[in-house]
Amino acid sequence: MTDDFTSDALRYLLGEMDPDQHRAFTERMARDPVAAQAFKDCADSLTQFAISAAAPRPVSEFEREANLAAILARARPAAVPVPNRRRAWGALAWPIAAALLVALNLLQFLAPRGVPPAGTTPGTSLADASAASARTTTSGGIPSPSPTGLTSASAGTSSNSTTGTPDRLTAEFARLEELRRDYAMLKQARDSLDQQYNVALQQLARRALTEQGIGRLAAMELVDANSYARGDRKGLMNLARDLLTEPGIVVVDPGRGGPGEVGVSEVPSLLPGGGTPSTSTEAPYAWSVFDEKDNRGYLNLYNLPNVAPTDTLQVWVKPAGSAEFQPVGLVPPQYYGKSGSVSYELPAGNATPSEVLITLEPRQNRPARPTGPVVLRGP
Amino acid sequence: MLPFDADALRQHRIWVNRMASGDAEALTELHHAYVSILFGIARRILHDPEDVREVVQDTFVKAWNQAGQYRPERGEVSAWLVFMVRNTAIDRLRQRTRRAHAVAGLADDLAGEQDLQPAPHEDAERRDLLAHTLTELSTEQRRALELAFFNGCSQHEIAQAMSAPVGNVKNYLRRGLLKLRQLASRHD
Repeated sequence: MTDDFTSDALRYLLGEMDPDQHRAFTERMARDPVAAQAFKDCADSLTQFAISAAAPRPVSEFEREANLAAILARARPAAVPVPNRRRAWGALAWPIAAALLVALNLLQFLAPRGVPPAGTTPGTSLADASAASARTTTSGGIPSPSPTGLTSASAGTSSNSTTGTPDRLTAEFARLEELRRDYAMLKQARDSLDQQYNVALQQLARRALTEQGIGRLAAMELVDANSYARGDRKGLMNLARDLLTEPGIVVVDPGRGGPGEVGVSEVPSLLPGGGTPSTSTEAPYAWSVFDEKDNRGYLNLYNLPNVAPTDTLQVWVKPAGSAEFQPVGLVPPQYYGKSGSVSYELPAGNATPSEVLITLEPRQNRPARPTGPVVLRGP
Repeated sequence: MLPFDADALRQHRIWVNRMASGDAEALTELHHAYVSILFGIARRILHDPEDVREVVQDTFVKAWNQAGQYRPERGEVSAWLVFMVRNTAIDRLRQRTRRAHAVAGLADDLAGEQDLQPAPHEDAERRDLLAHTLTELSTEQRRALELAFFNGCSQHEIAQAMSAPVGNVKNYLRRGLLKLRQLASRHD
């Protein structure tokens, strides 16, 4: 055979021919026995090479049986074990018997009801019991008895058919393989979703950095008065770890609130949504981020106390270098007794807040400086 | 020369013939004879154990469904199954990985020699002869054939991976296969 034929044979075997070339080569082999033999030699030779280059992987008995059971369960038309070909006629005994019993059962079901024959339970029949028995002995991936077709081997002719244990094992192996496939598919889907989530979060962060122009951020924790006095902190970095897309950068989305109130911002993936009911036994907590580029601050508030209608929660900040707290807004009433996110804006020229404070003040005639009980304070 | 002697190959053809008639026992026998080999080939292509397992199962199911289409004049049953698992695995590989990654990582795949392990139903003499087959090929011929067979690379991709002209790659593949045929005819 020529070098060209060898090249063509290789391309044919490796699936590199286009449909026209494939058809032409197939026709050539069909009419030229020398070419056909040469092609066979190529196929066998390449097979020999592949087996030599890829070490066969030893397969345990269990894995082989499980693999085979899964294959038999998937094979269509359904694989029919015929272990003893000499007893082929015996294989018809069960289906004929089953067909007769099913027919008798149907006749009894469809015929007018009368006094049941002695020895049977009303509502059931010997045919019911026999048919049920026949069905249960042929479970496990092997087709149930049908009135016309060959079924699994007849009783007594094979240990692989109507006895219980081998069929149950086969069925269990097949089921195990199905579960393993399902698990692998679900794991793959979960991995894919995780990847999509991370990609989406990264894209959101990049968009926030470029479109929103978020610059340097200052962050601090706010705790209740007792914790503040003791110096207890939860550890801001523990909270921010999952949110940081780059060192020191937190993804936020600015929002606007009503007049006199700090803006209610929708902050994706930060808090458990605005207005989440808080646990009464947990102390209030917050952490704050200040965007120096926009002079805007963000507060994530947790477990806020309930507030009487005559009172309000006032937010104060002390810009760096200043000795006085100045009011920046009120926490919206919808967050009383709950958790939520808010934002505020400082006038241009103000430095980054060095302290943030939330106190309980009267709603009417609010003071110019903090006077009421401290709800939250930081850093 | 294949890892099975003439009698075994004849028996395999009988099994496939019986499979075409719906004989599941024949499928069981064929599975027993080839499962290790097909696992080895699939693993060489795919690496992921779940993919390997599924591809081997798919191959035997295809063999069952297409048993009536097997043509012994086109190749032995081993060739039929080996190419079936190879094509199934390559399709799966193309679904999962980008070709560039496969080409880029080839240097690692081909860096070391693989230790041969005995295949089932194979005697020591045939095993040694099989091992000898690989050593008869030049390094370039072997690499080119492995890239084509196990990685599904086109000639251009092989040329890129081997940093060789496409014409040279064609020669490696052609001469490699010719040498394999010569070795096979020598030992049969």
